Amino acid sequence: MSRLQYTLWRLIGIVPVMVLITTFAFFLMRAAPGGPFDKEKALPPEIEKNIRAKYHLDDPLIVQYGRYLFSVMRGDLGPSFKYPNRTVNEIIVESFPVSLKLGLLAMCFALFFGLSAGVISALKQNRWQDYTFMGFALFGVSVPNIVLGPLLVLIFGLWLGWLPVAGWESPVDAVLPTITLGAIYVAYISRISRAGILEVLGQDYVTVARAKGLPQRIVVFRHILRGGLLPVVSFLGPAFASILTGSIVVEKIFHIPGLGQHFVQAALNRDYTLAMGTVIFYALILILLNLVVDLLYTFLDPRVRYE
Amino acid sequence: MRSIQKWMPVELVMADSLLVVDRLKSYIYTRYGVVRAVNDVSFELAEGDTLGIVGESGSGKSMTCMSILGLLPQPFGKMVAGRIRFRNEDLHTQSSRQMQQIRGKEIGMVFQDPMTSLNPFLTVGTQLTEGYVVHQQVAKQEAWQHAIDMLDKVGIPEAEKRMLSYPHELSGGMRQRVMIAIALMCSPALLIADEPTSALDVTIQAQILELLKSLQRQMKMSIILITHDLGIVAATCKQVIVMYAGRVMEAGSVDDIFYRPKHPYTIGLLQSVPSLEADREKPLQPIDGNPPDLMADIQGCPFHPRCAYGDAACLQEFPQQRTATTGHSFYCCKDVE
Ligand SMILES: Nc1ncnc2c1ncn2[C@@H]1O[C@H](COP(=O)(O)OP(=O)(O)OP(=O)(O)O)[C@@H](O)[C@H]1O
Ligand code: SF4
Ligand SMILES: [Mg+2]
Repeated sequence: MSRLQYTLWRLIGIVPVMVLITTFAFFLMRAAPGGPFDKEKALPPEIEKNIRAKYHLDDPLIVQYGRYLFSVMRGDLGPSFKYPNRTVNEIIVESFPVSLKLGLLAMCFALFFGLSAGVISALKQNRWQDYTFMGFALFGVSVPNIVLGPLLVLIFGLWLGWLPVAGWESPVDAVLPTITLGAIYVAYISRISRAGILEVLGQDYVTVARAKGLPQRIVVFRHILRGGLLPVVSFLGPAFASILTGSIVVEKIFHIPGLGQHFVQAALNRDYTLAMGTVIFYALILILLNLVVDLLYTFLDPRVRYE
Repeated sequence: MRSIQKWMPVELVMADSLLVVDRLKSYIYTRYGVVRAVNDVSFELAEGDTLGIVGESGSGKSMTCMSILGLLPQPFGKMVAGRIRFRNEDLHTQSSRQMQQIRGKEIGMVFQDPMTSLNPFLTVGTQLTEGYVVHQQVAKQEAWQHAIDMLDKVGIPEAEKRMLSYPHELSGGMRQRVMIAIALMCSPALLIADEPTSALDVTIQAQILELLKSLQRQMKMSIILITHDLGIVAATCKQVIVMYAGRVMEAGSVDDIFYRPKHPYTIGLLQSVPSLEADREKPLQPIDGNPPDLMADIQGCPFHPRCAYGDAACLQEFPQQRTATTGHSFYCCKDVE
């Protein structure tokens, strides 16, 4: 199979997966107790009836499902229940870029520091650099962002007053959220890259490279990093996906107007369409990210076969 | 070749030797203890000659060669004593830059396992040319052409096409040929071949050895050939050293070792070789027992537990060097045979 055929095949495969996910999202949402309109302050029956009619909530469930599935497959996630004048698509288009920006910042942060720490640790195995970085990494993976965020706010925002504690207007606003979101991935990436490089360091082909009399620089960059960082690449897909979903918490902590905030709100409000739409959207992103990583892999590792 | 005489200063022994290894000790400091991987090994190699190093697995053959290249496993391997002189330069005093100049350019090495010795992420062409580009300071295209010629020389069909292959697309025999081509790119004065054929089947083994011999004639190289296989030694080498537990047990010409062995270990090894001429019925006699743990402090002769001739006297100290004939020496306190 050629790479192009493989890609097409994988793209086609997305359709049934998305149908399944849409189905799950739909029925799970409906199975949850409560509805969008049974809040503390109930609406007058007349108005509720009108709204239910407008959103076809009185049709048989299977009809509602069919209609929803059909419109999702056309790329239309429907109107929001809680923001009557806006569609789910509009809300996503408006708020996702904020989440994406935060996610990318966190990813770059994690890659830069994670790779540096991992590479240095591996090349200085069992020396102080290694122990220091791996100590930090252990700390990094054991502190969840829901603790780290407020901690950073406390230290840098409130005590030292160096950085803003919340908001999303100027670039400095991004510093603490980026660190909060990315810290754990700095830790993961440094550990994965360290392990990968150590594995490669023990390979015969690295000794062969040295025996050729190549300068250390070429040995490291051409022979060690290439194979040693491959595990990082396969980690990137899932990592980025969980950074994007992880930003739900961080957006909440720092009051960032991203899709995560909307998702939390939608779930709390039983805004069926917005919650389902967000889930479906995240799922699609996840699947696409995995595809991208798999394709990237076929470029990086010549031994990979397409099945 | 003159005998290796411990008491004689190296400078006097061999001015014309390409390589002189003198009382080399290389230890590996592991978490569990010190492995005395190479323990007082001496030999020399004249220009154009082939030296065989034989011995069971773990006897220190590879570590001896890695010491020469300065590539002991890092960070725990260390050359702790002795001298290695290559072209009358003391390798141990060379800077790491100077060692880089020698590796690959003056001394080529073919490694034990062709399946793991090529980088799976790089094309054959890149792996062939990269050393040449660095050492000869030539343009990529020139190195590329030279590499194609070299692949031709080692008998790889469609060399030009093969340059773009990745290692996993080649068979074991082809990979080993590529490894040899890599080692020969810069026409080194010394080729170290560490069991270049042990991973290959017999017909390919023979081809590769033939190839090495003919390339040696063409390029006037010296070769150190490491192997378990005495048959290969007999067919290719001029001098042999027999190693056991990091030490040299016996050293001499091929004829000395095969027809006039003096050391019980050598005799044991020879008896374990299937002879081609006769007695196919007669079962092989591998030497009973296992080599000693190199982390333990070995008193006396390391072969003692497995030796049929040993007695309490052998445990006193490591046997003195004895000379059978000029150029034939061994380390056993008994007169065997
Ligand atoms: N990286 C290492 N760490 C610790 N010990 C090692 C290492 N490499 C080799 N050794 C030890 O050093 C000793 C000599 O090993 P060496 O590789 O030189 O043996 P060899 O004669 O080449 O054996 P083989 O025929 O199996 O290749 C062995 O006892 C081995 O266990
Ligand atoms: S010294 Fe003793 S134990 Fe060692 S090989 Fe000779 S006879 Fe055997
Ligand atoms: Mg070996």
